[in-house]
Amino acid sequence: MATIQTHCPFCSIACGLSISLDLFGRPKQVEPNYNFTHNRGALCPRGLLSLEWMRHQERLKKPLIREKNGFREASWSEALQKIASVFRSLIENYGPTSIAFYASSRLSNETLYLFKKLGYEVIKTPHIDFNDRLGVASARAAYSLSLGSSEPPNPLTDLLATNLVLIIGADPCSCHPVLMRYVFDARERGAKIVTIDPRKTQTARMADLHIQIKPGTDVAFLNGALNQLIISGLIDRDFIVARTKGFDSVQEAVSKYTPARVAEITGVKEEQLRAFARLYAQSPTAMVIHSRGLEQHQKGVSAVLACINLALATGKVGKRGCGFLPLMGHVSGVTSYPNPSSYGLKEGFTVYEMIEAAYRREIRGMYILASNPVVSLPETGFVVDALQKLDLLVVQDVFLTETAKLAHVILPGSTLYESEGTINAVDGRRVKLKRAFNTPKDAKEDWKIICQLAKILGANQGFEYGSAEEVLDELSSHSKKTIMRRDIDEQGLAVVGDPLVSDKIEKKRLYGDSFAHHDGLAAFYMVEYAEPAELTSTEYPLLLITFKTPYHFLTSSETGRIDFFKQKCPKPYLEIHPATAEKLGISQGDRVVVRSKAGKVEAVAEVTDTIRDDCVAMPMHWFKEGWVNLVVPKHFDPISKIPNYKAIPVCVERK
Amino acid sequence: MPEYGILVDFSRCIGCRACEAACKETNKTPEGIDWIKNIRIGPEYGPDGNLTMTMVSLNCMHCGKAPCIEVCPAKAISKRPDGIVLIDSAKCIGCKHCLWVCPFGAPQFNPAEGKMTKCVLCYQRVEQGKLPACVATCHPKALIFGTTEQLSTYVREKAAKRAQRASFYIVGLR
Repeated sequence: MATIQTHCPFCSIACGLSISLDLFGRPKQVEPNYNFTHNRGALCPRGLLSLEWMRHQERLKKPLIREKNGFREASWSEALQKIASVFRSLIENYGPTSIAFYASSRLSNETLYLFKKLGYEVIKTPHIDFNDRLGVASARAAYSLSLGSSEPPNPLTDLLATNLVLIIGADPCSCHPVLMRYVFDARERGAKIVTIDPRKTQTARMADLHIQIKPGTDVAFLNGALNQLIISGLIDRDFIVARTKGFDSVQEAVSKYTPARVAEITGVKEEQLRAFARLYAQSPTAMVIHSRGLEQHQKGVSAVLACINLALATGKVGKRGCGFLPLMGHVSGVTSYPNPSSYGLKEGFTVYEMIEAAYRREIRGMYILASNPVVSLPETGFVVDALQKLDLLVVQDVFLTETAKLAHVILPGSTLYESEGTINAVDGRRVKLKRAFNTPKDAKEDWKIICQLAKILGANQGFEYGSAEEVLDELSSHSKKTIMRRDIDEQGLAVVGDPLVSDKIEKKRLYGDSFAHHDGLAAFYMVEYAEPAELTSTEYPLLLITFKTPYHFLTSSETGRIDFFKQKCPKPYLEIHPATAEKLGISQGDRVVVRSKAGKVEAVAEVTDTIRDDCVAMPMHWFKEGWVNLVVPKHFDPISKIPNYKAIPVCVERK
Repeated sequence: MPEYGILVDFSRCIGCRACEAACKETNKTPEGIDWIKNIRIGPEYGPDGNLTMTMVSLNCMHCGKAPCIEVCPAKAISKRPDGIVLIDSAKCIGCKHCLWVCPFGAPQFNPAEGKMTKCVLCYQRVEQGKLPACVATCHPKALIFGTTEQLSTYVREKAAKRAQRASFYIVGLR
């Protein structure tokens, strides 16, 4: 009986686990791995039950081609030939820019690299985007602007050495459960926990101070806090002079954010703002954890910048126990390079621009790899219309997702337990995935399908790889700082830093002496609070927030098929405050209709005190009855192009 | 012989139900039967006016003087020298008396077999020197496994640290 050590394919902690196999090489059980430092022998239910997803009977086993009355099974050569012939005729008639590629970033570095190589080199389209556009785009943009690099700056262990853990717009209890052991350990060592969240989440309930802020007003609050620090003289002048630039403009801008004005905008009491500022200034060290709650706004980049300004002004960066932990939703491959310019192409469309172009018939062919944009993008109706206008939609996935149902050709791909490769965890460490077992029947490893398609499309060379490691070596040559295969040790404990910078085992803390800009200084960016494009009105009086439950994962295409999670969270529900519910005549368990300018969705009312009375909240996952993106309108951050999934004006009625 | 037990640290449980999932994976219990169950209390307003929600994972307590053993008419339940209380399914007649008397609702009826079933504290794993599956997977370290001495030492050490930190604040040494 063998055991294979690999990593959990769900959230970005990338817990180490081992899969035991029986005599026939079939997977038997998942056990946590005691050697991996992130989880040290612990796992959350998603990881524990991940085999049920891999071995699910609904897995796609053969390529499918759409006919007039549904899908029919086809051979690999037929499916690939069909894709190749349509792509070729599209290129001939409308040029290579009529084809767009979109992939999940929850794939190995190798797969993503080949996907890009196929698009940029063989098809020659610049339009390639990844679903981290919906996740970490704001944080990456803000970190690059301010600190010079989008790389996560601190190791997880810095949480244990800090005096204050500031959690903004994140709920690790639900989304990154294993991270909570660091937070609990920090608390036991005397650290204070502060959360800023419109919902009193499980994380917020265990915090020392919870600031129940109005969604989308983080910039005002953080600027207000910085103003308090400046007024009380609690900022680190020496650090600002020696290590940063541009503070004066920020100082001037935040002086407008008086406690009274902040209270008016954010709905947070003045005392709470002062208490927060005092606590933050008095803590010698502080770690900031932030996630989608801060980032998925029309001012997502500004919010992250405001957060960085606060840390820079107090000098709480780049020291032991000081810094940032931007949480990625899921384990992720490198998506930032190679970029189109290295293939002599100009910058292509982001994902929603692709959808809009498809609607205008500018884009006519699309290749979607392991992603489910019908559920994950705003304005589902529009996305479906656009995808239906395509001449050819190719979807490569493991299940028949909502997007795959619209496809012309479906290719059965692999899960992360079935292919080799490397992938990046929350602090930038790269971990090695090993193949534990084979894909079902005719399904193939994702990167091998891409290679095969490339050859059929006429790529003479450059797609002949014996193993995933050869792909990694080639990818490494695209980075200025190369990473060698040997940097990944046998345990898969791998590498560090900018996903492709090498450094053995322990993640290095960044920005101890200088920042990643050329002059070595961090830049303050002046950010101002701006009202969102859509405000609440008498017609749409409530603000809708989307959130992740502890039981499902993203569009729940995997967890939604596992009985354990289905029983725990079977239906879409709407969290609503008792006072609001009473006003609307809604009681616990009623069926309600949520309406916005974009559309409507049904849900079950969950009356709870954990939410603000001017907000309602709904899980982001896919459910048979409907999902929240049916009512999310399309508004984007101008810099990162991240959709606004939080703070959507809606009205709620009893059905 | 030591007497084993599991301790639940309420302050650390986040209600992720990994214990339930790990138990199901390891012991392959049928649907509807959870040898360990995570119970949610709240959200409700506590005495201090703060909104609280508490999670408690409950499994069989493997009592020192177990009422289920006393009441079992078929003498199917016994306590091992290491304190683990087991139901011998060969002897069990499925009368559910153990469920009546158990203060924790631990024994559950398995309709497929017509027998009672409950947590076995993963005795096979414990014999190999491993932790029970639920404890092993508990990432916030809310479940602690050990002998009674180990458990009380754990709690005392935590209390001592808490007192030490509090005294820092009071005397102003910090």
